[in-house]
This record gives sequence, structure tokens and C-alpha cells, in this order.
Amino acid sequence: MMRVFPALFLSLCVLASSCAGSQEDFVPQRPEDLVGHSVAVTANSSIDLDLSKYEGVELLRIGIGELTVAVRSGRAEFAMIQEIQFDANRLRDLGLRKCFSGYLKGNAAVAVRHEDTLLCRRFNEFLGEFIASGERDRWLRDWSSNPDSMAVAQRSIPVNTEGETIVTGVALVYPFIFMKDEQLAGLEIDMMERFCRWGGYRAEYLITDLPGLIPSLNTGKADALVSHIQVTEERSKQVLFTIPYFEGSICCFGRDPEAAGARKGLVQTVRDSIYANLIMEQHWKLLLQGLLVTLEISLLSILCSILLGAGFCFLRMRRSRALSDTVKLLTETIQGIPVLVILMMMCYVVFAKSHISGTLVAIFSFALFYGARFCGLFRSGMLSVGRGQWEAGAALGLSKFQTFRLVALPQAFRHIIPVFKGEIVSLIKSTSIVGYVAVIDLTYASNMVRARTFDAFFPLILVSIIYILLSRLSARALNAMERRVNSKK
Amino acid sequence: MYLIGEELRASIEANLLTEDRWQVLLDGLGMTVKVSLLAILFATLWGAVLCAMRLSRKRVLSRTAGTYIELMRSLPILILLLVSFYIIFATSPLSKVQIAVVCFSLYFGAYFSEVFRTGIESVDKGQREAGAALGMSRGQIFGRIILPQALLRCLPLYKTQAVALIKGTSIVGYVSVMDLTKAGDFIRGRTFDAFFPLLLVALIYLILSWLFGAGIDLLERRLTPKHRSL
Repeated sequence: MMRVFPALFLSLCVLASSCAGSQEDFVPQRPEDLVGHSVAVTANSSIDLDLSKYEGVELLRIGIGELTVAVRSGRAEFAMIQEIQFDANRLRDLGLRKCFSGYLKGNAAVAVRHEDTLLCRRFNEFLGEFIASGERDRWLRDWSSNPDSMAVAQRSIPVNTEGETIVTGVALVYPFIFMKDEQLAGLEIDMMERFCRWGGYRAEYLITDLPGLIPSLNTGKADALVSHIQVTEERSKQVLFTIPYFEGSICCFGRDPEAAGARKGLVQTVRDSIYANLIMEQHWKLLLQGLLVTLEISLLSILCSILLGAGFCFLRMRRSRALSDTVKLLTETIQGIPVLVILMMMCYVVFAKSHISGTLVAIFSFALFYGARFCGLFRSGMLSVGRGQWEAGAALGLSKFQTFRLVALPQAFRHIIPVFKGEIVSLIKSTSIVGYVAVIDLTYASNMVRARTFDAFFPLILVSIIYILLSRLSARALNAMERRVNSKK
Repeated sequence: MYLIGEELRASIEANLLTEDRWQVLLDGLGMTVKVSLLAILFATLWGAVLCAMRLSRKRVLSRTAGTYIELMRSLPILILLLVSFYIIFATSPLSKVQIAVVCFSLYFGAYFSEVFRTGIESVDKGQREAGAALGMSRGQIFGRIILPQALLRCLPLYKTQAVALIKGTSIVGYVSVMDLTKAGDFIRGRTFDAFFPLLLVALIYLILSWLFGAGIDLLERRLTPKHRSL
């Protein structure tokens, strides 16, 4: 039975994707031409803001890694990215073409906190030399022509491990900052390392998503942001910008109907997919690590939420009205908020200033949310044990705790296990949202692979199958447990 | 105290009043309500169909429904949403909102069908036999005896799942639907204030879940024969 699900799911998806539509040949020349068409942009970026001015442009506001996937899968007709990204990613080879370029020219600079004028001055001195010596132009040329061999070459240069630590906020965007064989590499990592060698600093990188960059600086989690942040008036109020080091412009791209040509056989397609999504750049390692993070978050959250739920339940069942009502209000409040919002609140409000890892924040969030759910569940289990059972325990001379452990608990557990099973599986599944706070779990890892290979199909299907297997396995384990507590020996 | 008031006023000013940002939030709320209500409606219908299939005597039907339910219950909704968005409906004319509604209906239909099944199976066998003894047809037994009791019993579970659905819609922002969470994100992206928009969004969700839960509770009380005025 277990083998049926993935196969069924896979065949459904293949069937659906095989009926892809065709598209007329239309090449927009300026942003105005995009009216009446669907355009994928990075959510909340300056492109998003600017294009929102045009009535009738159907904007698809998604993550930066998904832009090319959206165009390739036919989800959006066009997408907007930095020109250097189009070139470095060799999107032309994927049957995509630039429609127009030179849109929204802007300067990117390093951002620091307003009060960090010293750090800003040091950056300015370095960048001044970097630009004046012509080093900057060489750096830009090398990286935009061949990011991957540059990343390999970069590894041989030792990093500065001495000196004052600068926590640098970065967002993963190829070729600026990307993972190469489990190490950070890219245009801006290279620049930051040069700065460290120049000024005697030590860089520590904090990976976050694009919208999380400025908050991470303002809350003190990061000391500097090196992530091609464009200098805008609104942002200047929030952060202090150094002199610009990179001048970028946006290009619009779409599918090239002429390049569609060469159709490969099914076997070849599958083989290419496996190579690109698993073997190339050791993507399987990234996915495996993602799976381990998912397992880690799931298992620890399950453990913590059971403990927390038991604690809540204990307090909830006290005789004191005040205590019991407080816990009731607390658990009901927690359950009324989506776990995603709880996660974001934990990350950006509660633990905004502390330096704990995203994984821990995720575990706390899930423990809190499911702890509140388990409280109600455990309570219903305890209430299902009749008064007579407690009295019988007392009559046999058992202490209160003994009665609880030997008489009440096994019965309560038997009562709640069907629901408990469902909740555990639902917890495991809901960990898929932790990517929202830049924890690299299975889903986020597959998004990262997608962002590199621009393949909508393979990574998603693979991840679905892994989740199905994971859920089925945990359900089986719990079933075995259920059988054990139910066997009337 | 004065300082807190002043800070709050500034937060409201920046996050809600400037550039009519409250309008974004209101639109987001509208979208969340729209997606949730449509999905609850369709999921309930689909759940009823699935439940009928699951309880059917035909093995093909019950096996198919069982497999479908298990499949949905072992897949994260986010993955289902992404697969629908980028693969299954990538080139279909369905809008992103429609895709979100379809996804949530398909997904929660499976959960609702299990809720309904639990309700129906909880009705004692004797009730069915009593109906048969009174000379009722199978349809009559189901419509007049089983269903009213089953519905009443599955309401609490139904409430839990429906509230889970409402809260679950907070992920539709992933596929560019401008819902409440995404609207909060949008404001956060403009004002760089992490605290106020998130708290406000959380509060709105809380009120939404509470209102919906209270509605179902009211329905439950009205349906309970004990409380029904004659």
C-alpha cells in the first residue's frame, strides 16, 4: 500500500504537466508593454513597487529563487531580475531571452546601522581603494562571466580568522551569494573577505531571506548587510549606506519560442533532471541536510510539545480557578493564531535580539503551538478516566502518583492515541513552513535547488515523495505503539 | 504611560495611516475570508462525497477514497500548493486565488470526510436496527436517524478542522495571493517595523478563529435537542 502513494502521485503530476500550452510571440520593449501580461517579480522589491504603478500588469509576487521557475513552467509570461543574474545563470541556454534591459538602474551599497559611523568609514575607505585601483571592475567581470570557477578559485584563498567579528547579513541570490559545495561563495562574499583581509576583521555570515535583511540589522542580529541592497530614500532612513560598489539594472525576460526546439526523450530528460537536481554541485547533500533539519525540528518539537502540553494540562487541571483559567486562555489564544504567524513573531519579535539559531526558534514555535493543542487533548484523555478508577486505586492502597501512573495514564493514553497520531503527523508536515524564517529544511533546500536548476518539476516531486514516506513511516510507528498499548495482556 | 501611548500612535501612523496602508490590510483580510469561506464550502461538499465513497460497499470506491485521504493526509499543504501552482495548473487559466481555493478544498476535503465518517460511525448500530424495525427504508434511516445524530457529534471536530483551514490559508502568500499574512509582510517590508504588523495580524486571525468557532458553537447549541425550544 505504501508504495502505491508516491507512484500514484507521480503519475498524476506527469499527466497534468504534459498538457502544457503554447504562447504567442510577443516581445515587450518597456515596462508599459507589460500591461495585460503576467510578470513574476520578487515580493516587496523595488521592481515590485515600481511595476505596481502600472494598472493591469498581473504581478506575481514570489520568492527570488522562483522567478525563473515561474517563467519556465508557464506560470508567468515574463519575469524581472538583475541583468547580471540573467547572464551568470546562462538563462539563454534554458530557452529564455531578454526582452528589454536597463530598467530601474540603481546603486547597491553596504548597509550598516546609523550609529556605526566608524564601520561605515572603514567600508568607505576600502571601497574607495577597491574602485579606484580598477580592482572592482576586474572582480565584477570575472564573477559575472564564470561564477562557478570563481567560487572554486576563491576557496584556495584563506579567510581571515582573527580580528573583530562582523556579523554580515546575506540573502542567497546567485551569483551574488550562493552555496557551493556546502560553503558560501559569490561576488559579495569575495568582496567581504577582501574587506576583512584589508581591515583585519573576521566575517561571520547570517543567512536570511531578502525581507529579513534590514530587520536583522536594526535588531542588532547583524552588523552589516552585504546583499546588493539598492540605495533608496526610504531605506536610507532605516540604515546607513556606504558608497556604492555595484551598479545594477533590471532586465525583463520571457520564453524564447524559437529555442524550444530540441525535444529530448523521456529517459534522457529524467537522467538530466537527476543529474542537475541531485548530483550537480552535490545538491543531494543539501537535500539530505534539509531532511536532517526537518527530522531534527520534528523530533525535538514533538518531544518539547508533549512535555509542554503535559505541563499545561497539569496546571489546567488544578483546583485553583485562577490558574486553570489563565492556562485555558493562553492555550486558546495560541491555537487561534496560525503557526506561521507564531513562527514569524518568535523570530522577529520575541527572539529578535538574541543570537539563537533559526532551528531553535522553529522548535520553540512548534513546541508552543502543539503544546497548546496537546494540553486540550491530554485533558480530554484524563477526563475520560472515570472517578471510580481513582477510587479503586486508593482502595488498593496506591498513592496518588501511583494511581496516575499505573491506572489513569494507560487508560487516558489509549483513549487519545488515535487523535494524537494525527497531530504528530500534522506537526511533521507543518514544519515545511520554517523556510519562511530562513531555516534550511527539506522544503527550503528543494527551493534552493530549484533556484539553481530552474526545474519546477523534479525537486518538488522528490520532496513530496519524501514527505509522504515520512508521514507514512511515522504513522506506522505510531500504529505499532497503539497496538502495544491496546494489547490486553 | 505617555511614552507608550506616543509610540503606539507613531506605529499606527506609520503602519496603518501612511499611504492608506490599512487598505492593504483590509484587502488582505477580505482575501483571507474569501479563500477560507469558499474552501470551507467546497471542502465540506467534497468531504461529504469522499465520506460516501469511503463508506460505500463497493470496494473500488472505498479503496480509492481511502487512498486519496491517506495521500492528502501525508502531504504538507504547502507542497500541494506549490505542486499545483508550478506543475499541475501551471498553464491553466485558473487564477492564483482559484488554485488556492481548489488546493485547500482538495486537502481539507480529506480531513472533513474523516470527521464525517467518525460522526456516522459513532451512531450506535441499534439505532439503525430500530429504524429498520419501524419499517423505514435505508434512505429514511440515514436521513432521519443517522444523519441528525452524526452531524451533531461531528460538529466539535468539524470546528477544529475548519479553524485549522482558516489558519492554514496563511501560507497562500507563497504563491503570491495577497492575503492577511502577506499584507502584513508587505507593510513590514515598507516600514521595517517587525512588531506592530505581526501583532495586529495575529490578533485579527485570533478574532477570525474565535468568531468562526463561536458560530459553530451556536449552531451546536441550536441543534442539540435538549436546548431546542419546542
